[in-house]
Amino acid sequence: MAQDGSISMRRPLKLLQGQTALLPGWLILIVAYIGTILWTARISFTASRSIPVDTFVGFDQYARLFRSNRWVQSVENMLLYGSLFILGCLIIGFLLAVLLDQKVKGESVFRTIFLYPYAVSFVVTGLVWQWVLNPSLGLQKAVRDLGFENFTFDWLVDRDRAIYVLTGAAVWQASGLVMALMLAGLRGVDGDLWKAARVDGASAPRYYLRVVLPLLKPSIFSSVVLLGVAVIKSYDLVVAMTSGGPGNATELPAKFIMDYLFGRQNLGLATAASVVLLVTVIAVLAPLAYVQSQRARRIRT
Amino acid sequence: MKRVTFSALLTTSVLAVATTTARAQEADVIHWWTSASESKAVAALAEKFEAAGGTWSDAAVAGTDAARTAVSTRIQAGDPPAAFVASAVLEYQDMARTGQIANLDAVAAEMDWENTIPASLLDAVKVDGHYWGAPVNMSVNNFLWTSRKALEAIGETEPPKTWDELFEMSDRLKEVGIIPYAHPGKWYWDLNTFGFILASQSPEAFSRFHSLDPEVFDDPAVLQAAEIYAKLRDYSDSGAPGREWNLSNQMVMNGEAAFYLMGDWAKGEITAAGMTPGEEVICTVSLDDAPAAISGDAMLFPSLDGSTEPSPAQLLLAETLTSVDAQVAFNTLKGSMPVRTDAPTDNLDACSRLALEHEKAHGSVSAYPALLSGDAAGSFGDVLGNFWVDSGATAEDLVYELQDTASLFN
Repeated sequence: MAQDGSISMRRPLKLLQGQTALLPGWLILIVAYIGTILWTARISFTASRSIPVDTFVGFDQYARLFRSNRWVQSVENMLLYGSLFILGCLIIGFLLAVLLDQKVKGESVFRTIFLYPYAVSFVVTGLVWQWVLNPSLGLQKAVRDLGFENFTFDWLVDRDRAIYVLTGAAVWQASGLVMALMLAGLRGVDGDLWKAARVDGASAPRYYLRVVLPLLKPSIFSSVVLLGVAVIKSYDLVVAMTSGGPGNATELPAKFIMDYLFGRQNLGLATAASVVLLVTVIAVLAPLAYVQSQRARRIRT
Repeated sequence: MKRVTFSALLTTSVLAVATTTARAQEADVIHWWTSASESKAVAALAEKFEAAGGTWSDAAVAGTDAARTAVSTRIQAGDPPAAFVASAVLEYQDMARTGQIANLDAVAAEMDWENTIPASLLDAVKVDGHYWGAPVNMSVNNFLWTSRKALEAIGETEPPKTWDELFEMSDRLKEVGIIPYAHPGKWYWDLNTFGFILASQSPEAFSRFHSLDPEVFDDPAVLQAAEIYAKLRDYSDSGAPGREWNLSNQMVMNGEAAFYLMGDWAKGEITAAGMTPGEEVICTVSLDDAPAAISGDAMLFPSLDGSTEPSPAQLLLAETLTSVDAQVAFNTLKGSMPVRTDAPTDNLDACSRLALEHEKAHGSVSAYPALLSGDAAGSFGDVLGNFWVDSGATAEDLVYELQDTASLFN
């Protein structure tokens, strides 16, 4: 009896202590994250240019945003770039992981090589690829100098193809990361499964596709989340590689926002674009998070 | 322990602020003039200021963007510098209108700016008819740089004077395997180039275009300019989109390309490569007797103690800066031109003298940064950049797109 009483006395105290310890975290969350999001949303309804002002203009900035060819193209580019990038990284990363999983000699050397591009920043990646692919400086010129006068590879300055070059560079940079995640997942797969599959007469590709891939779901999910974040905030790669060109062919939403926030000094339009981007992300993530939480609940019960 | 150091830090910074305001004639100046020749020029200006009784406190920040950030943060934090350098007053018009920048009308009247400084430079430091900045230097932006080597390859000695001549030479240059026009393909060069062409067709249409007059698009000069711009695209190489101007400059220097339009800052690169501007690379001002497109930096003075009246130190600095003496000393070292028309010209190089003569004969217009907001400029730049890479688009399409963009800002 007495024991019970002391526990129930202590519990609120403990709770209070815990909450006090969390207070700085709560403050940061409320002020730095939610606060700035609300502030951004508020500015997007004003006519602010280089400094925030309180002249409210309703949805004018949003109307202009969707009239802007550049914004519409930025969003389309993001969808194309994003899906190709995520898919490309998953496929290449998985294949590399499977190859490394064959107990090859010098595995750690290969692993380092494949992971290395990820250690290189997007700015450096962009510059290097820009030099390699620039028709008057890089690959095209090198091959032509070898005597193949008619060799042409000018995708970087071709407005219908530049976005694929951008995607290629991004995949080169990030697929090593996916490889590392997948490899960690593969190491968790029980080796006896392979023996069992072989007894059942399954070929190696069939084994990896039907048995291993489903087991790697957590690795795939974290890869997709990481890559998705990279797509939304893609800015430095574009700036270093194409600065959005040729024309608007490789513009992405994050670059649109940065350009209007600073160089073009239109806070209203830039914040409206940020809000639209945030709403888009939430619209994609909310159903995903819901599915995840439902699944977690099902496992628990 | 940590708290003590923090409060100590706070006290020192408060003290630092107190001492700056105490010494009335001291001025801390944020600027981005950090290259070898530029810092010599700043030293010369500081010397003139000190001779006039002021105390110069240097706050150089490397890079224009970093300097801009430093200015904005210090003003927002309530600790403004006495003065800072900007490319155009227009950038800070919001601050001028909300009383955060000091009004220089008194200095302008006293130093007789109206009669001694070209109108296009003065327009660049005015907002709503008042002066908010002091012109620092003058640059001519629309030199046509011509490779002598390329000219010799087609048996010519003189650079073209009209667009027709340029395109006629371009056909022959193409035949001998030389790129006729090395277009620098950043959006701001697209916009600059289009502006230079428009000014060569009609200076009046140029100023109406830059004041976002919706009627200007019915003026045939705009279509003519669009046609020349489209033609220039056909005579440039496929590497143009996104190209930096110094790469274009290099192509003209080594004779790989024949022409390009660029400001007088190209002289620095030409000299650094061991060549003489005006010799290996010939300088003339634009084509079709176009007015010179000029630009210049401006010095702005934030309001101190909540007053838009300049403080004594700010007043003294603005006066010194726009005096003939300081103008010559500063600009000779920096490699740009004095803003004062009554300044002696014997220190100037051949290209600058030629530009001054051209300006006297054909007048001048401001380059776009003084005329368009960053937003409008960028939007036009997007249209021109897209047009450049869309080989199917015609000059009429371009005019239509420009008109559509202009309508966003009315």
